[in-house]
Amino acid sequence: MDVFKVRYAVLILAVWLALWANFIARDLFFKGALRGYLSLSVRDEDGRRAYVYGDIFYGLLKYAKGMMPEGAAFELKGVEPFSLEYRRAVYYLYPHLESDNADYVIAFGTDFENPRYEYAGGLDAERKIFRRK
Amino acid sequence: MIWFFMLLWALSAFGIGLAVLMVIDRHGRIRGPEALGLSFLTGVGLISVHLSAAGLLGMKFTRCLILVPWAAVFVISFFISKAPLRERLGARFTAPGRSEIIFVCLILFEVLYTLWRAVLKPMESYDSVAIYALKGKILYLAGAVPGNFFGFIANHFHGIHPDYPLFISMAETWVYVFTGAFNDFASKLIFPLAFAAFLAVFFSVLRRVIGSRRNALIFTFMLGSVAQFNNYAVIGCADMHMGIHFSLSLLYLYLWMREKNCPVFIFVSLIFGVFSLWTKNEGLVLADIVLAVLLVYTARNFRGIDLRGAACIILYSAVIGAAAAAWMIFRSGHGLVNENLNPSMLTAGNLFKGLGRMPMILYEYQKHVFGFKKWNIIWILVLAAAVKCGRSCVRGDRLYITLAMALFFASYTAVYVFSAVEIDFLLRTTASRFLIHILPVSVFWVAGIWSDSCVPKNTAAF
Repeated sequence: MDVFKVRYAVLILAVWLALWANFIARDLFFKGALRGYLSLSVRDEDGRRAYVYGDIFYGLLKYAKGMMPEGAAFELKGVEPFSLEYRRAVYYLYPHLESDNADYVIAFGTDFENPRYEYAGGLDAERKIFRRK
Repeated sequence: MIWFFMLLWALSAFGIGLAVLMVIDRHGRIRGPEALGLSFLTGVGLISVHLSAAGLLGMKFTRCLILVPWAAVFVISFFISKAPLRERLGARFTAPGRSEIIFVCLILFEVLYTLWRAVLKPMESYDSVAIYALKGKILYLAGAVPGNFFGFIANHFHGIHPDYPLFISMAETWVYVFTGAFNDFASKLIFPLAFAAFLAVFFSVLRRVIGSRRNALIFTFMLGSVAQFNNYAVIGCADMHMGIHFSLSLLYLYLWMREKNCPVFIFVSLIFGVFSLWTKNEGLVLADIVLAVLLVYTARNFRGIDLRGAACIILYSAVIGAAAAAWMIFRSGHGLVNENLNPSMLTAGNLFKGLGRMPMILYEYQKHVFGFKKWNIIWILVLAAAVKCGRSCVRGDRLYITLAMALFFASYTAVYVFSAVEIDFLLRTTASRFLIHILPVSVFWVAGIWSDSCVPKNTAAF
């Protein structure tokens, strides 16, 4: 069958290898992936999760998880619903469930005021937790 | 400590798969890297199916639930098997040439690079934390499948897709049960190990068919180096497994059709056909495609099929049919409906409306054909092979692979035509993942055509 002659085969393989090497090298060296991987390599598991979720956001989630009692429901404020950050938060905070009528409100980078809730703690002005009165 | 437990986890999965392989392949037709890879993939799959079935029957998740029965199978398999273990797992090979060593090194690099990237991060990709890993965490913390599990997740987690099969989630749950702790860095190991195991099996199957070890290595490297494929061995989603299960189901059926007197191959195909059904909803379509290929084979060779072959075909169809029916009845009983495509969307109105989407669908496919970053030039090679090969694509044994690919593209395109979901969003979020399902089969198909012209004719049977 006269489909791929050997000379074409070698050419195809050369193109394949060139593209493969180019995209790996571009990601690793020019887009900074290697720096990221090396940075992850020297961190512990908590540090790696913080790197991936974002140090600031993960700090708040970890603080909230430590503060909420068992069975408490939460609501996220300042995080776009169904965004990747939102999904990560819901996953990380489980077995706490998200609810509109939450026991705790986790406010990230946003002002939250509601007479039914009181300030329960926070890490800084941008990261606060409120508890239902 | 966790990584020591993960080593035991990998060995237990491998041992369970090996035990089943020794039972269905008593004479050791499957050996070396093929046996190693197949054992791991089979073990992970059987554990997931076993845990799902036990969970849905109300049993609690414990180590003993899985390990005790399979340890018994493991012991029995040694009495049943007629091939010594050393012979089964050992590889006999002639000294490799320089190009073969290069491609082995490239494959090893790809595997290690994938493994490294996978275990550096916890579960974090969108579908992983929204669907698969979330379900795995819920199931582990519940210690069983709670009676109201599907209703609970549907009510509390938007976008969790309660109708999706639980293969990946259960595989992750088993990691947590086995290690005794929730650790989503550890459960990520499932994916790169499956990737490595699959490359070993793909190489072996390809070598059986095309004869040339060098060409088999080249195409195994090509498959492993497709960025979209190895990225899915890193991020914890089900699509790579879907591609693995579908391709092994089809390729082992293909081996059985070629070698007629080796029922081992059809049993392996059957096992991965059942896994396909339990991996994603698309598995139902993909298992039907494999059944359609078997039907065409039966029709073409009706007079030549002996009693044993007929029994294999009937058994295969019955098991796949029963497994598919069981899952569909279960889904229907729990009111689980797929958002992207369900029977209510299969109407003439949707067909006529959907045909107008064809330009957008074809445009999306075109983006992938020339999407070198994700796919390298694999789709260009597939198109070039199809154009150059012409009618010989549907001649001889090649018909079966060509048919499977044609049915794949027709049925997945039909999903886009009939779906009531906004087409831009659906194409953007699914097309690149769906193509992973057919990628290994496509590489296999191109490899067959390549080898027909580039290696001596007496070794190129495909």
